[in-house]
Amino acid sequence: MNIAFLSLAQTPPLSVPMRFFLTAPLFGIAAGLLLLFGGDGVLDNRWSINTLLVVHMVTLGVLSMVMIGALQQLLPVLMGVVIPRSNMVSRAIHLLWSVGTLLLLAGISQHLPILNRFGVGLLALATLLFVGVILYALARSDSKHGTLIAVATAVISLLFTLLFMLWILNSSGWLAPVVHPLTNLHMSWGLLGWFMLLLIGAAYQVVPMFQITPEFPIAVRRFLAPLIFVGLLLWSGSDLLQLVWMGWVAIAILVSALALFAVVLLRLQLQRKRRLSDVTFTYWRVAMVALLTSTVVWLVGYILGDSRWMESAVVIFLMGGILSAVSGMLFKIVPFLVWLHLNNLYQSAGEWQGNVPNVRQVIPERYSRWQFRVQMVSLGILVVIPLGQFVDQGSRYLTQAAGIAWIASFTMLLVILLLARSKYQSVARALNRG
Amino acid sequence: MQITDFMGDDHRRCDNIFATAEESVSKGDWSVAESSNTRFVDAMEHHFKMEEETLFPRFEEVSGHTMGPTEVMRHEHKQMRQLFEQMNQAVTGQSVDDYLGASETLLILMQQHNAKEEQMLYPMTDQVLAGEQDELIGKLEAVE
Repeated sequence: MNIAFLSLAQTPPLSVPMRFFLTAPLFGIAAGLLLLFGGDGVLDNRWSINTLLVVHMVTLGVLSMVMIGALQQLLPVLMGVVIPRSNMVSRAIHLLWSVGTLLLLAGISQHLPILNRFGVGLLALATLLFVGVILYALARSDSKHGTLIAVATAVISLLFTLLFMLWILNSSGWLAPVVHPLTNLHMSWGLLGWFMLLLIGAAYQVVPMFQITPEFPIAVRRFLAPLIFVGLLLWSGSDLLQLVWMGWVAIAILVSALALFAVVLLRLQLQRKRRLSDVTFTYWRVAMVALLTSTVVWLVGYILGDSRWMESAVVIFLMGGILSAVSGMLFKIVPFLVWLHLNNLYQSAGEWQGNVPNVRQVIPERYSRWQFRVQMVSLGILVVIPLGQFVDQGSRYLTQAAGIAWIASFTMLLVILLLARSKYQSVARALNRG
Repeated sequence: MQITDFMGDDHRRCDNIFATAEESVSKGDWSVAESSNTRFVDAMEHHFKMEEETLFPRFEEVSGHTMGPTEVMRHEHKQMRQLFEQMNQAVTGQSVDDYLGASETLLILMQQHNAKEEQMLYPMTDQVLAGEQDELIGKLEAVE
């Protein structure tokens, strides 16, 4: 039995997750700028360099960035395990991941193999360190919760994503290819493995907690994540061994698992005891609707053999599904962490905690609501970009409009997070002065 | 019956009253809000009392850990009590914003606290106190 769990020191310093959260919107803004100035074809054609760049700014720079930071924060709290040297580990991963992403983006855009090599090298180091730390922590956890297996399969999927990236680059002379037979597998492990499984693991905990809903059914918690993982293995097997039947089995598993998850979550939300709605709740609802939509759209594309549908599905999945859930989580986690750290500071100083701002004073609901609206506008524009082809210059104008909306929504996110951090700093300083 | 189930059920009971209190405040229905808030705080204090006076001491006695997990749980009870205080004040001052700010903070603190208890501390207690669960639950039920 691991009795050392739940020590007060288990809450890592605020800076551990915050440095990731504050970096993410910067990559989002960069992606917006590329949409705005990258010319047409950034999003209506998967196989262009600019598309590769935008996709990796979002997946590596925004989504993975937040998830890596959040996991280092949530794991100690929810799984009762302490990450050794959390601050040093966080700094190292953040530096390796950020610089690695920048180098890779530069390498892709400038067609420089040397930058790709270095970028991927740093990303690989960051991944190994991160996955190692997480698996080490999970192995020591006493928790029997379904979150554990979901997180474990998620981080192992991240390793697979990296592995396929190495394979792709290595077989292409370290020049990022716009088309490669393994792109499909690299993407599947990243989106359905790393992102989706982590989202599922988080959902098991946070959905019942914050809306006061029933728990996810025990069978879902136990089998869904392993099932998706097996689905991905079969999918990879079918692709590498050219076994068509295995591919259909994998698709059946993956599509039904994803749809099941979204439906169960939406149903739980309907059964919630807490009727009060907040921005996190709304974001998660959008995420689930997007998830369902993207599953259907992808399936239609696969059956028709039309890649445009499948590309739309990826856009809806990433920007409507994963990004929405991630944004919703940020608006829950950040204000609470600010409150918690300030409260601990005041308590250990023996001061009255009434001066500590509550979560709604750290991030006022109306700020996050506005950010939500703008992000929904950007999602709406993204979804209709494929229709732009029917109008002269349509795609181009829509892509630029999406770029402007991205820049606006990520700037708002950045400003809100900076305000929360400065609130923390000013209240902490007031305590030191007092 | 397992301690995990007994105490977990009491968490659900407190959660439900919490939802009622929060909803009545958000509607500005202060007469209902006042009574449901009182009901909520009483339910929580009763739950804390079961833990602090009966469950934790027995766990500490048998497991031999006084500075471990139970210490952290007591610390979080203290933090929650400050938020009860702020919620009570908000009801007295009839301030919707102050109440919902404090209650939402409490909700997150309370839920991560409950998760740690239900997923780790209570199962550990069931393990350590195997064989005497029924007797202990009897004592917990007797707590006023």
